[in-house]
Amino acid sequence: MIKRIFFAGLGVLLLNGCTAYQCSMSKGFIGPDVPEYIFSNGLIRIKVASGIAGIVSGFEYLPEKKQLFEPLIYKVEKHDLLPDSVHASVTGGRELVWGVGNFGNAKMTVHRVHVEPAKTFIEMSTRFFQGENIEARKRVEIHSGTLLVDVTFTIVNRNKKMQKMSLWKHLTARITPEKRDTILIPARGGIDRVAGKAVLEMDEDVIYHDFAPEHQAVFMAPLAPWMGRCSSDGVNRGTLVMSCDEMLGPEAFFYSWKSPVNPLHTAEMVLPGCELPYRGSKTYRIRYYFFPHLKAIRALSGTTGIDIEPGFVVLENAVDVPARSLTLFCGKKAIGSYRIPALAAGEVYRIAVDTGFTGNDISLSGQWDNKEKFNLPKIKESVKK
Amino acid sequence: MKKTVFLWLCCTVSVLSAAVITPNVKLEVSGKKLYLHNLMQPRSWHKAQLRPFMYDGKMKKYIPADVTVSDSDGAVTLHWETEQWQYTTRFSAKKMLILGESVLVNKSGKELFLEPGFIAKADFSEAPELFWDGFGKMRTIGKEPLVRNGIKGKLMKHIASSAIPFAGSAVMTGKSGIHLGHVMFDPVSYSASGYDPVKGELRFSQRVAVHPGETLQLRWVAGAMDASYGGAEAAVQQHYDAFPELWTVSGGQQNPYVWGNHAHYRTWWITPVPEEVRRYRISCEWTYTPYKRSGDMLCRPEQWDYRPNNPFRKKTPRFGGYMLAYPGMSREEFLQLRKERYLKYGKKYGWLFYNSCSGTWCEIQLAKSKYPDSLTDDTSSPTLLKSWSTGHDWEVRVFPMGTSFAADFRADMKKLTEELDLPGFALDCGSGGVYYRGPAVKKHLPGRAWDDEGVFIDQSVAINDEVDYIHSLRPGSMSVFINGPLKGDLVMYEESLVELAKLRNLMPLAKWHAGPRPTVSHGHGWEYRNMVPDWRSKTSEEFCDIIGKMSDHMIFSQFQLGINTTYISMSGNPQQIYILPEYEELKRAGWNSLVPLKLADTLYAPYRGCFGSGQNSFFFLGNSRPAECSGEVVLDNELQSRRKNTALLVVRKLRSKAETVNRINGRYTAFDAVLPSRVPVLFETVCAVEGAEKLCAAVSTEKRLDRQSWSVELSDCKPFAAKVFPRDIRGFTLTGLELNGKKLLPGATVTLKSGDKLVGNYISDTFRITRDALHKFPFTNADGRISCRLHVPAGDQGAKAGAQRFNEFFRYLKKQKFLPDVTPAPVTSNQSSLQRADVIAFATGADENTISALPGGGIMLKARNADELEKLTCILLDEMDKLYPYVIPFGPVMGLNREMIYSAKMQGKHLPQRPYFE
Repeated sequence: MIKRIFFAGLGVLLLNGCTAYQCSMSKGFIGPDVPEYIFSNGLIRIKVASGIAGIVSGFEYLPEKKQLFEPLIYKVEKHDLLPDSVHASVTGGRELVWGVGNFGNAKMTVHRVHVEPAKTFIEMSTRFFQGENIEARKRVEIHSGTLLVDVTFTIVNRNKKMQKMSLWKHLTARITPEKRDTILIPARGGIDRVAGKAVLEMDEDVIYHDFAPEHQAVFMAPLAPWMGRCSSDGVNRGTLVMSCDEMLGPEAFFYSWKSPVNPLHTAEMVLPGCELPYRGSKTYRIRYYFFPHLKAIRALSGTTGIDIEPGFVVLENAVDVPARSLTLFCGKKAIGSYRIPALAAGEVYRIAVDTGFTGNDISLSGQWDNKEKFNLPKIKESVKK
Repeated sequence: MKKTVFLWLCCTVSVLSAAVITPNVKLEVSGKKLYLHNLMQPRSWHKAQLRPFMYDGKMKKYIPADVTVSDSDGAVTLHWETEQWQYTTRFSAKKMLILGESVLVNKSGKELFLEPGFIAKADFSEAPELFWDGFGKMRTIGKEPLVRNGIKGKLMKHIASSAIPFAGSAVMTGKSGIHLGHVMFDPVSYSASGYDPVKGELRFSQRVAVHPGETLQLRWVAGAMDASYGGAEAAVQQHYDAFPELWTVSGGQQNPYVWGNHAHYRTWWITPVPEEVRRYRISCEWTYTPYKRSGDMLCRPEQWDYRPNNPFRKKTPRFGGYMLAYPGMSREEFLQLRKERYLKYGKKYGWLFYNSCSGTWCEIQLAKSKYPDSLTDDTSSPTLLKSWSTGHDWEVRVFPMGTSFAADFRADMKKLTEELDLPGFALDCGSGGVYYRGPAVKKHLPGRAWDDEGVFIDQSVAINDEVDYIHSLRPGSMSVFINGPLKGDLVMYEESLVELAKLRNLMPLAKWHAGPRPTVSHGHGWEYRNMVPDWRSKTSEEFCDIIGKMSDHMIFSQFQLGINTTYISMSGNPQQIYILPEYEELKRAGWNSLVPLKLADTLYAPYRGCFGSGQNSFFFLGNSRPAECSGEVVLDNELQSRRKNTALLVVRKLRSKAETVNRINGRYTAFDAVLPSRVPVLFETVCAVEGAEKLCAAVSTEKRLDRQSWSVELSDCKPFAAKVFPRDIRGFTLTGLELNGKKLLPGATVTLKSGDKLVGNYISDTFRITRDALHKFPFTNADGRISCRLHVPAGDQGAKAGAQRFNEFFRYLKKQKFLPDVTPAPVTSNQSSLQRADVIAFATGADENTISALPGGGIMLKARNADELEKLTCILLDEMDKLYPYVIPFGPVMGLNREMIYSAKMQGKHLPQRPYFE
């Protein structure tokens, strides 16, 4: 009897403990025959508009009810003589082909939607990606209790001849409503051209904070395989990061564009070109991370976002991580070794360091106890031309 | 009689009490104040006080008005003088507008920053609803003042500078309005407009920076407009009518380059094909780009070898199909090639020389080292472009007036005109809204304005000045093709007509700026990838349906906006070629912003257009729905004829016969229209009848190749004194106007009554042969082989060229496999062959250009010279197209590539033709 009560209680405890971080799914429509799937994992709620090129069209941080994407506005305008005009506002995350016009509105066919308490995902595909003779398959997945969205994107060449193309990853979000975000761009120094394209040259490796309206379009050579966005007021917290390991390949570049008339500010990755033979395929793994307590980041190490604030190196994780150790360096000199406790997703940890090591013009580096390293470059803020 | 006296009084400046009077507004002095009187719709607003103001930009205050207004000597003038300046404005009538011509003298010893302007306060009987600030969209009037300060509008990415406003501003109800402005294309770097709903004041001003001792001239316009068909449209139309010289192209109707279609690189990227040029009615080309280094069109030797910031492109086609690659090419080779090709093709195909983006962009190293005074650093628009006109250069913005760059740039244009015998220039990025503040602003240059940062001149002033300079190089013979809202002879709209979002964004302002001048679309045609993202899944039938409808939209837009399409939407699409004769006729009559038609509710015509004026008017209605509709159309005669008491008689515009019953009632002509689905329905006027008040008229036309006539049979009217003004028909001469069979002089006073019949007869200036005779001529036999011969007088090289051009027609059809393997028509100089029934004779040295019948049954083409004989031959070939109806099939073009055509299985095919004008 006691055992039964115990196990029942444990079950209740487990159930109660797990209920907040269970995954779920619901389906809505944003237009006639234009479905939108809504996935939740207890910490974030995302939307996937399969009817509009499988865009990740919504991202909400549930504890604060914080919407990170502008609402997707979709309308179809009918004309007497012209094909319907399909208008989808520029928001969310989508995949395109660099060099081909932005047709982010073609439907994707949903093949599978999977929901279980621990994870949920959707698999979709389109036969003619961006109007090209390329099949594209997309999977969007979240796991319970994490601040991480996993996007797997596969392209398959259906042309009988070799096809070269560059995947173009496009993310538009807004950390602070009605204000333009700062885009965080890890930029490699000393490079003025990538794949024949002129890029904004930096004297050294930096994290470039792009917000000045004078530079409407910014192209930069990648230092690290991620781009972030944060509030530009330096006060509001929350940093959204997009990563793709392919960004360190040749001919990849970052691109950011600001609207001159509203706060729209994009973060875009143009991935290295790939040549695919007939039926050849390539898969990209793109991740979105949200760090609700970081004002910005200077490094993305695994699933950990790392920033420097006056007197502190600040860590936050997108998933639960066990305890581990970290050594920080300034140049070749170690400035301290630290034991980091196990942290839950969204739990921030602050390492106190000498303020002499925490300015924008100071770069640090670090190494975990598993030998993985990371760099925390200087910050360069966009200035008037 | 009473009306005649009244009109005489209205149309002249009164001597007894000086006033300036136009048909719809009067300016007079009363109690030492100026007043505008609304003569059109006095119930909407009756009068408006017009008062000047002056803002001193250095003292930062308005100068208290101490104005003397006088109306002596038959003129209304305004005089204002302070210790520092003297400001006099003289008012006169300019068609519907009041024109104010001001002289501003700086009497002081220092530079003045001034902002003169006018305020109009009208006594509207109902509160005005809309304010027009000069840009394309109306603004709803609420409680707060509405203003527009300066001329910078939205950035237009494709020309890297901003939209600029039309030279007007207005406030209006649904019925009537009042407008103020300046004369279009005047050198104005800064204007401002505004409406204060609490004070009920409309204001308009210009800023000027005046040197010590300098005398400046400024111009203003004011007017009243009927807003029933669009208030801004009516105000814009008044500008067109008042200043026709601003909208007339260089060389007028005889300009050989601007009235046809733009080649859209079809004669630049490939060796020109004469038959293609004829079929697509190509008359000019945009030669992008005929030099190596941006800003150095002349290709100076010391500037030829340099390292551009971007790599040179691989070989690209230029100069009529030459594959050009700069690496390894010497300057001498390049210049020789350029000269050879321009002398061969330049004038023949209207190769308008692309002049480094109107001289506003220059290669960065060259600009910074040689022309540092010329740099424009206004960051509201781009100042550095890293891949622009040449592709390999980084280009910075420079100012093409009064600077060191301008001096070289203009000298280069002059030298190139002479060396290459240029027909004109192509001016890209021809816009404004970009301020130059460099050293040259200190000079005595037009358009000097000021703001908190000091003196500046807007780029638009410099480009307009440049256009005048180009025209002066060979007066009447230099054509300017401009991509932007400024002066020029042919205007480019650099978008496809199917891009609806851009059309809505840029129209109507872009077309208001272009005005009655010919305008072409330079976009990517079908934009099929954008318009139909899932094109790979479309069947042939679906493709034809989609393209067919898109084509109808293009055609409708063409007639609505007066914007040509080009060959890229014509190949595979015979309908767009079919409509060209009608479209050219309307285009030459001059597009109107105002379409004074009211349609019954049963008529669905979202596309509508109006061209010409008075008895030379044309109207277009387009029903884009699947079902036919019908109903009454009512034309406002006063607005379309531009005078009172004059009725226009209207008939359906068709190619052979047409009839339309008109019902004249006071100011309006009403007629019934049937609008089939997806057919452009055109109407034309046959004559204007002054004095007509209420009557019915059965109007009909009959058209043949060599003659045309129209007739009007009157009914339901009392006798009335009238004057009849017959229409002009391009390519035809009026041989006689008749009333009941008796000759009537145009404009002579005559009494008309029920039962009377008016007839206008015309003969062709060109064809002295009937269509029947022409079509029966044995060009080819039953097997499709040439069965005629050509006669050329011995030694007549022009005639020989004409004969060769004629044979080109069959050579082309043979190449397209439309005709079997044909040998060219044999050419002879034997005089006896002129008696044969199967001869076509060519000759130059004639007094006029005609195609006539020979006594033996042959055909004679005679022209003044070789060039005109070639054009005449093409006119014959245009007619022969009806006998040999070859349709150019779909082929890969911008906006529709080979893969798309093959995917729809449309290679070698075309859409059906619908002969809806027959």
